[in-house]
Amino acid sequence: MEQSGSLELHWLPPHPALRAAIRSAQAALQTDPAQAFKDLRLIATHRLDYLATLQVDRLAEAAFKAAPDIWPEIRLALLGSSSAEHLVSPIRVAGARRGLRITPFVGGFGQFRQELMAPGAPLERFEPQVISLNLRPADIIDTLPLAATRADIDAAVKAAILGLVELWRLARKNHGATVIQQSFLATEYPIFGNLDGAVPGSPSAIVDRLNRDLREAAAAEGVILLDIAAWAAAQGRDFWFDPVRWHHAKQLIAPSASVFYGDLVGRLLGAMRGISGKCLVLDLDNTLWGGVIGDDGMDGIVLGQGSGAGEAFLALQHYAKALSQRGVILAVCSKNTHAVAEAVFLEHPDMILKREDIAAFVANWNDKPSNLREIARQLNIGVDSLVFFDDNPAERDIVRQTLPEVMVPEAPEDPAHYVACLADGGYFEAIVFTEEDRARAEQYRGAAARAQSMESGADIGQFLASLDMRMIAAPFTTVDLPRITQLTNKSNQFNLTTRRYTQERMADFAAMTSAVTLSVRLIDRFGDNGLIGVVIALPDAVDPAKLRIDTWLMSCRVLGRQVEEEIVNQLCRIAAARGFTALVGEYIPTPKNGLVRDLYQRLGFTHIAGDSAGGALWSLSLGDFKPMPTAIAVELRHYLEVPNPEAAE
Amino acid sequence: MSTPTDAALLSEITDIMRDLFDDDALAITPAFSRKDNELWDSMNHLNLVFALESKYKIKFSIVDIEEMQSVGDIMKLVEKKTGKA
Repeated sequence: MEQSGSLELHWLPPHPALRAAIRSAQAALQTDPAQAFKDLRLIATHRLDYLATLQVDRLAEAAFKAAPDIWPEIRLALLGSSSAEHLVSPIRVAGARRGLRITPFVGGFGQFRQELMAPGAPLERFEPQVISLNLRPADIIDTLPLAATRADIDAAVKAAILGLVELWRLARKNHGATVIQQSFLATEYPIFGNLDGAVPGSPSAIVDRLNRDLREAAAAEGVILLDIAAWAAAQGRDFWFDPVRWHHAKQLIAPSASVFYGDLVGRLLGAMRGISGKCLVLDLDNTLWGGVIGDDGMDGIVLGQGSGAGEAFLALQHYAKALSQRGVILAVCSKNTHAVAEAVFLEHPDMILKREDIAAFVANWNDKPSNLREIARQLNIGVDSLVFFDDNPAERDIVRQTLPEVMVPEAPEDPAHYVACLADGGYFEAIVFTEEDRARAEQYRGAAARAQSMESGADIGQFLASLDMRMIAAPFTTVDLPRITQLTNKSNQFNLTTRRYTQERMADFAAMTSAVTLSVRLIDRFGDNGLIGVVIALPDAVDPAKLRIDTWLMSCRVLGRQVEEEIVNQLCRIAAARGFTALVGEYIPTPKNGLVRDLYQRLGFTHIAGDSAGGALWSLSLGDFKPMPTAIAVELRHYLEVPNPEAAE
Repeated sequence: MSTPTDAALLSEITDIMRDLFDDDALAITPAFSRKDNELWDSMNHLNLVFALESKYKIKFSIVDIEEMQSVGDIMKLVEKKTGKA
């Protein structure tokens, strides 16, 4: 089969402007090398294809030449019997992705034995710290007849692996190097077809046997396994091996796999140096389950058997649970009311993850960078060992911008691919599995229970400005009425009065010339968030000169984006244009809307009345109101030319 | 892939070569050949082949790769494989 696609680094975000970023980092190299290295690492942490990888590698080479000491070096020798020049850039860039300066050495074609043995050879002068052996079966095992018996094959494989172990010992003894052994790629085509695996002497059966014994021997010898055979089996051999490249240029690893291959090497070298994830930090709504717990409630969220999406979310939970069993710490970072979020872990029957699986459980309305710092503090680990998994691109972006040390996989839109994203990303690469790993999750739970308070400091203003937010506010229109009604009847958390209205009632508000209705959309550079806010304001029954906010609710996905400030700004503008003297805000407490209890106070309203149940009335005089600064550009439709019965269509 | 005009194709190949040879000012014509640029060595030739294959979602044969010596050769092959000409 002819393969024309490539294995992509699909867990990393695409770079929006690669060439400009490279040029800017090149310039920084002259003036501010430390910044240039940060830029380099950031650029490398994108979904680069092979050509882009070559470009980034030129930047890396220039940076390493200009300032060799900023990042720790790893001297890596690639020895084998195929050409590896096209793997050098992908490996070096994968190192840059982890803050490592990899200095590569490519051995002579098929010269690995002489190089390992001969004193004074170029390999010895290179002084490798790591030697990667990238071999083919023919390098270590004699050609066997197809009719060879199982006993013949067993003996030949055993001898071949013993020979390989000798090479590993040479690499250690003569060079003091750590050894990486690549598994054998099955490049031969089947001779029998389906029967191949059952015939001991078939090439594919021999490769299988070699790989099986190789994995055991590597574990026994403390050699690091680079298991490309396993990846090729999962992803498709044709991504990895291309007969055109083999016959033409003796490339065992096809260019279509080279960038992925580079990252595999990078993550092994990173794991050797302790650079890999320790803690998986999970968002909740639409990450661990479908829907929003605060709005949809325990029986409204999508989780568990019975729906495809519900099973996909379960699959992620199963995977996270398995990670925790191998020693990865689990944490939760969610914009939710703590008790509401926690209840799912305690009470939902389909939850695979239980409360005790989560070492640090942070659910509140603070920004996520602050919460990630808090999680790292509670667990007493570095922020750079957190892997943050969140379905929301805006949350991922603010974390990447304010805490670039945190690893942030680009969660795919379809939850069915969540596990592949985490697994292919290799964030938790390990070179051994120890007793300590098995016990780790338990230790961290204790550590987290002792620590509690919050810290903050992310530059939110800068982040918000970078979102290019645009808010469109319009009176209710016929076409929007279904969505307005749905949102009004579904929203629980950001809902000041929780009044529910039918669509007919909404149409009445739309037609009332004395009412001010707002349907609010928010667009940012990630796209249109859709209709996210609803306001109904009516002349106050007691004092008709005041405009009373009967209903105000918003989708929680836009919290912390200054939408509330901007809505008050616009309400004031409209109310003033219509001759009102003040806004009156009302808060009616429910078990779910504690989030907005202090909203009016925060927005500068004055308390005018309260009741024992916690309800309150607030007022804002329009005479001395000054608009609150926000990072949102506003488009106001059909308000300022009123009163006009046509305005509501 | 829609069928590019010659000028559009030449401009796309120019972009690829600029990235590959790290030369934002590189100007090429169909006559531009491997002899004209020492950076177009055997390694970069393989890189170029792969960049073209990725961009146009095509595969070159061994013979194509060996015979592809100039920008004009590349254009002819790409046009043939993407269905133009």
